[in-house]
Order: sequence, then structure tokens, then C-alpha cells
Amino acid sequence: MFRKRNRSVASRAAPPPGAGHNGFPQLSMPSPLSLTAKNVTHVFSRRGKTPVVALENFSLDVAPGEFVAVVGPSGCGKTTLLHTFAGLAKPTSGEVFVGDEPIRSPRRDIAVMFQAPTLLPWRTVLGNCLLPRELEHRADERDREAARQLLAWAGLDGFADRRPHELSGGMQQRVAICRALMADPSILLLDEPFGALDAMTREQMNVDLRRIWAASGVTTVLITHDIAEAVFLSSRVVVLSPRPGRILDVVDVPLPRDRDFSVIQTPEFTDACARVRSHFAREASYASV
Amino acid sequence: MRVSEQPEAGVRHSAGATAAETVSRPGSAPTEVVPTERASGSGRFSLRVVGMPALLLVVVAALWQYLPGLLGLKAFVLPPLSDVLTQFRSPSLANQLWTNGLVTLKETLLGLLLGSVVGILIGVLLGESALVRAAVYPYLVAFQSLPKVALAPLFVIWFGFGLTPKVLVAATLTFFPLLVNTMSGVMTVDRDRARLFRSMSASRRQIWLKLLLPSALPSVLAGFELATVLALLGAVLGEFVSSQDGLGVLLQQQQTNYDTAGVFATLMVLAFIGVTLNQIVVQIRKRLVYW
Repeated sequence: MFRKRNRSVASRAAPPPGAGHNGFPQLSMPSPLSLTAKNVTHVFSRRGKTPVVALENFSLDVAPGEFVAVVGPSGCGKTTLLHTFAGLAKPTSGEVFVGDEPIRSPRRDIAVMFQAPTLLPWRTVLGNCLLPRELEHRADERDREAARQLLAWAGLDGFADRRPHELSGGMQQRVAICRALMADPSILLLDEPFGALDAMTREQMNVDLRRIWAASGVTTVLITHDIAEAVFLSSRVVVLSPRPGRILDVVDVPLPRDRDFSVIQTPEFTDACARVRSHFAREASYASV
Repeated sequence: MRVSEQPEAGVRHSAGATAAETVSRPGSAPTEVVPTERASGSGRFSLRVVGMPALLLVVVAALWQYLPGLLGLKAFVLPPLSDVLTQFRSPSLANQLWTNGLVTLKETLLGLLLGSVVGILIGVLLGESALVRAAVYPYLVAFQSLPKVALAPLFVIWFGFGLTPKVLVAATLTFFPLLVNTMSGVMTVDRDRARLFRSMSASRRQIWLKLLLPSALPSVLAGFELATVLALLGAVLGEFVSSQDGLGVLLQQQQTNYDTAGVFATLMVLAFIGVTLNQIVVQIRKRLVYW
């Protein structure tokens, strides 16, 4: 059902007026940058309690324009990793880099999308999308036009002047994607962005996210605990162990760049999922001993 | 099931599609919105909101009118309702209620203004700096546990018998709820939203203007609603302590004359002022906090 619908949209969709190639609105997307983690260890120490090692010796190279997914059970330090990439948390040891520059504080060219849409309820949908631009300069008509195009492209035309609470969860999360893209990011960090959505909406959002990534070419890191989602979206899946989070495996996903939901029936997809899952099966049996 | 899915379906069709395609699917117009819970059945609702209080009013009025006579209460103890209402026909009392009411209203509004401005400013300051909060907050709590009326004699010594001491009593009463509500509104800001602003490298000023103050607005206005009632209380209390005019003074004069019906008439005016002020704030709140 999804496959059919998606195909029909893809084949018939002509770019809306003023849109760039692939139907993607012309944003001044800067060229994607690489993202690197070198021996990142993150220890949470609280007075009077034994320190918790959230991440241990995590190293990863994400090439410019690559889509990497990080999977792991709850509490394996996934979110900590994302916050470190975003410059929101400082690792206990090790370093993260954008290109060659170490990340020490948040950067405007790294956009983060959280599990909740985190829209501002007092702003309209359009106002929410304009937020990243407003933090840089007074938003002008060009910014508004860019936001409108992006919203239309995300299937939200006609909703620009609505308030977030009038939208469904899936639509709110779409607005959050638009807002993240309005920052013209070189790097997009996604923290279980569709975790709160129902399974049907979620599948559709995955197809959309893949489309966004393919059109914008932005370097993307996705944190999730959904194996199928990770494999469907990414070109590499990093498997993390439960606490302390260590890399158990990095699985290459040998699927074509242009994907729709039909790929979930291919043996490549099933094999990649099985390989990722095997690690958790083993970890789970350890845990139960 | 199908109906509830429609907005999403509409979105799907128009995603990345041409305008022509959207037009050719009138059923999936993208202006469709998910129905919100706000539209509730209004028939029974209005009966409960308007009908029941009205019924109670009639019952209380009837009891007030006939019970004192039945119980043999003297008119100076509890005058029947009709006696109270005829008070308003006397031009001299109506005049007194009007001029004194304006004085009390002025004290209330000035006190409310002063207390709110100072309360919100200090609330913002305490919300911003953990250091200032740690230093100042214990003393503020100590000040709050002091009965504010007890300050009235001091204000009279300092500022005489005019407007100022009453405004100050009203302001000291309104100040604290606004301070606490502003501070807690700022401090209980959604953590993910705060993180979002940090991730976008927002400046401290931008975080205040675009996140913290709007986030705190519902809480600040709730405090303001409480403060209006307290400001009126403060004004009347200030008048009790020392004054030449105001509804509090009128009440004391009526008390001296055992003019119970007059006291009730004055109380009705006070209640009217209180309810009106409160309703104005409630309406402002509904306009500003639509989320």
C-alpha cells in the first residue's frame, strides 16, 4: 500500500514553481560536511553515586552527505552521543569534529530534531519554521517564501497560519523537519524523531525522510531503537551495546540510493536487519543470565 | 477510523504534487484540520454554567429576603434584601459609593500595577540567576509570611494619610504571587525547547524574548488573576488603618452608625469591583494564552 502510493507520487510529482531539482525547494543548502567522533567517552558522575559510563571509546567517521543510523537499546548512551555531536554536551574524554573543526559548542549549521516536535505553541506553523532564521537576522519576505515552499513540499500547504495544536502528531513532526531544514544545515541530527508516532504514520515519515535526505544531500545521523527503520534509512548502521555504550558492529546497507518501501522485501534488507538483530539477541541473553 | 485518518491522507496526496493535482482532489483539500477537543457540546454546558448559578442566586435572594423575618432577626443584625437594595436609591449613599468606590479602585489599580511590575521584574531576575535566587529567596519567603497589613501603620508614618500607603499595602500583597509565578514559569520551561534554542545557538536575550517569557506567560497571568483580588483586599485594608476616603472608610462609618443595610450595599459594590477586575484579567488571559 505504501509502496504503491509512494511510487505514484514520485512518478507524477512535477516540481512546484520555483523549486529546485527533485522537487526540493531551493534553499541555500551549504555543501555537506563530515562528522567525526574520536574516542568519545562520556561518564556521568553524581556525588554519592557510582559514576555511570554512558559511552565508551566511541569512534565514528560520517562522510559528507552520508546517512548513518545508530541503533541500541534504551539507556545505551545514544542520546548522549547525539548531544555531543550537537555541541550540547561535552564528552568526558575524546573529541568530535565537523570537517576539521572540533565541536565545543552548538553550531548554527548543525540542526537537531528531537523525539518530540518541540514546536512553540504560541507561534504559527510558519512562525515555527522561521525561528532558526529569526535567530540570525530579522526574517524577511525571502525567508517566508522559502518556509512556505518547504511547507508545501512537505505536504503542509494551507497550514502555514495554523497553530501547532491544530495539527496531528505526524504533521507536527513534519513542521519540525521543515524548521530544521530552514537552518540550512550542513549536518542533520535526528533523535528518534518518529518514536512517538503510530506505526503507519511512522513508515510514511520514513519514506519522506529518505526523500528529504536524497534531495538535500545533508549529512545525517539518526538515533533510533527501531532496527528496520535504521536499515531502511541509512547507508550504514552502527550497533551500540547496552550501558556502557560501545560499538558492537557497523553494518553496511547494500541498498540503492533511491529507495521506496519495496526494498523491505529484498534479501539485502532482511540480511542487514538480521545481522543488526543478532547483536541484540546475544546481548539480551547475557542480560538474562 | 477512515475519518480520523483523512487529514493525513490529504497531506499525502498533496506532498510534492502539482497544484493541479491538489485541485483535482477536492476531497483531500489541505485546509482540513484535525478536530480539537475544544469544540464540546455547548447545550448542556451552558445550562450548567449559566443555569445553575442563576438558580442558586434566586434561592439565596429568596432566603435573604424572608429568613430574617421568619427567624425574628433585627434589621440591624441582618436586614432583608429589599432593605439593602433600596439603599442604592438614596442619592446621598449612591454618591458616596461612587466617589469612594473610585478612590478604592484607583488604589487597587495603582497597587496592582506597582506590585506586578516589581514582582515580574524580580521574578525574571530570580529565574535568570541561581546565585541571586539562592541569596534572596529565603528573605522573600520570610517577607511573605509577614502579615502585610501589619506594615500599614509603618506606611502611614512614612507617607501620611493620602493615597500612597494604601497603594503600598495593595502592592505588597500583589507582589509575591507574581514573583513566584513568573519565577516558576521561567524555570519550568520545557527542557527540550530549551535544548532546541541552545542547539540553534540562540543568545541569552533571544532565549528570554522568544522562549522564556512566552513560556512563562500562562503562569504569570494566573498569578495576575490572583493578584487582582489581593490588590483590592490590600486597598480596603489600608483604608481601615487610616484614611479619609475610600470604601473601607465608608464601611467603618456605616459600622459606627449600625447602618447594616449600608454595609451590605458597600460590600456589594466591593464584590462588583472584584468580580469585574477578575473577569477582565480572565478575558485578557484567554486572548493572550490561546494554546
